[in-house]
Amino acid sequence: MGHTYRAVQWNPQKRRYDLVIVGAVVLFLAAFIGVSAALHPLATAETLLIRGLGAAAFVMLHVILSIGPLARRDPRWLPLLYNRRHLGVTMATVAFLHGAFSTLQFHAFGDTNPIVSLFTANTRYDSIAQFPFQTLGAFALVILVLMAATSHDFWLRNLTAPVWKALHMLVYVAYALLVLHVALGSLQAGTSPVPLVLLGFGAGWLGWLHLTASGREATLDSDVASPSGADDAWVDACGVDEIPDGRARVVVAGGDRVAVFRDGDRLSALSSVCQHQNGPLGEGRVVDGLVVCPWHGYQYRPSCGCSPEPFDERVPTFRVRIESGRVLVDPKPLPLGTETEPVQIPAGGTA
Amino acid sequence: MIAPLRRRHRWLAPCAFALAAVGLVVAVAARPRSFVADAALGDRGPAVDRSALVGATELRGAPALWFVEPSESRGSALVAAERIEASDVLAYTTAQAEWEGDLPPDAVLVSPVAPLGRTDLGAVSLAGGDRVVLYSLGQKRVLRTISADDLAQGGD
Repeated sequence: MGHTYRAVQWNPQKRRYDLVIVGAVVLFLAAFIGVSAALHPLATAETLLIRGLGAAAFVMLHVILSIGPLARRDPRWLPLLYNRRHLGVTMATVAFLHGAFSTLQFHAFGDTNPIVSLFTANTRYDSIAQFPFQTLGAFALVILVLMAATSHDFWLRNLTAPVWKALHMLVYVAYALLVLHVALGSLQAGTSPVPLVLLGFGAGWLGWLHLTASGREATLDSDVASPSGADDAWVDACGVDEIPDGRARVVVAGGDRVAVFRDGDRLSALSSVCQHQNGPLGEGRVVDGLVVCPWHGYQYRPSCGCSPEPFDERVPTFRVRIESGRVLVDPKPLPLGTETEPVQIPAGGTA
Repeated sequence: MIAPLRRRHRWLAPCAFALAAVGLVVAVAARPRSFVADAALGDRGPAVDRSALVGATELRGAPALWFVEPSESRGSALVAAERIEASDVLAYTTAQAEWEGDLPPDAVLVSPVAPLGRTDLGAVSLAGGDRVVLYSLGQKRVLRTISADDLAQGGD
């Protein structure tokens, strides 16, 4: 969490993460260029570098798009998610170099502005084999660079998390454009099955991962808390014993997800949406009396939904009560920052 | 709060992957018939389908290179019956017969050239006075200039 804006809030984990990323990119480029040069001795250094950068960026994009759904399936992937933005910025930088070198190589030596040439040199949109695939790559690159440029918490905070997330959902559009860019460009360049198999496997893997994740999310949203039966609008969230100590039970109440946390013998209900990146707060745990988001470690007090000083993030809280061993939640959120006493679980779990 | 965002995410991601899958299938279907390639990185490729030579004229002094003049139904094309051993071959048109340096000043880029097989060249017509310059971007040299004089021989 950050109280003030800094370019990067370094810590040992981030340094290790970034070193691994840079090392992996350099190794990938060296291997790609070395193998390609051995297999294709006619290839020029410029061509190999352009292809290597493009391949590296595309592989990184697959890793980035895999991290989210994998982390939802298994928390052991969370360390990768913690600094996913660093990977994203690196990927956008490598993709930018690929685009810049390609534009220089193929469009900079004529009498037309290279950017104009990029969009006008080939206008055969009616041909599949000779489709202007570079245009697709250019549009994808604009999206990736825009995402990288707005990746900092400064933009996240000023755009607000929902707007920021909507903007960054364009990564799916960029991915589709890039698959078409490769399929209509590089894949048309030969008949070797290797790139086709790799591209098909990558797209299939991501498609399966995201479709199954989407199904799990839909299941979660279908867990709508039922009316409590009392003479009010409170809903029946779950039984007291269904909430493990230090964890939460997430239910849909009032149209959105509410997380009922148990800290010892006390219960509190907070929005399950972290203020930082709208992460799944309800999948976090209670540590030292604070609810901790699993994505980036943002912390909130269960009693009021406020981050501890000097931080000022706040999530809505909800009133809770226990009746006959059932946890009831008022689906109407309390005003932000309202202090409420956590509900004490009576001995035996019923009241 | 963010339920609408979740719903948008739920349909946007599958739509993007579906679009990518359809595009991939279409591109793969188009792949074997005609490919625009980087000669340096492409593999040896299949033998050229003889049907690609129908209506084509073998070019003088280049037995492996054929040219299809544009017709009412289709544009012109260049067909490499044997692999062009050069990297990043591009086709330009020019009105000039002679020039100094690599490319004529009025050269207009038409298309990357498939090292093996057919390359569509649109409205380019040798009989109509166009000259085609095949230039290797990788090797930085003109491989060949093609004019109407080269159409004098052969036919299929």
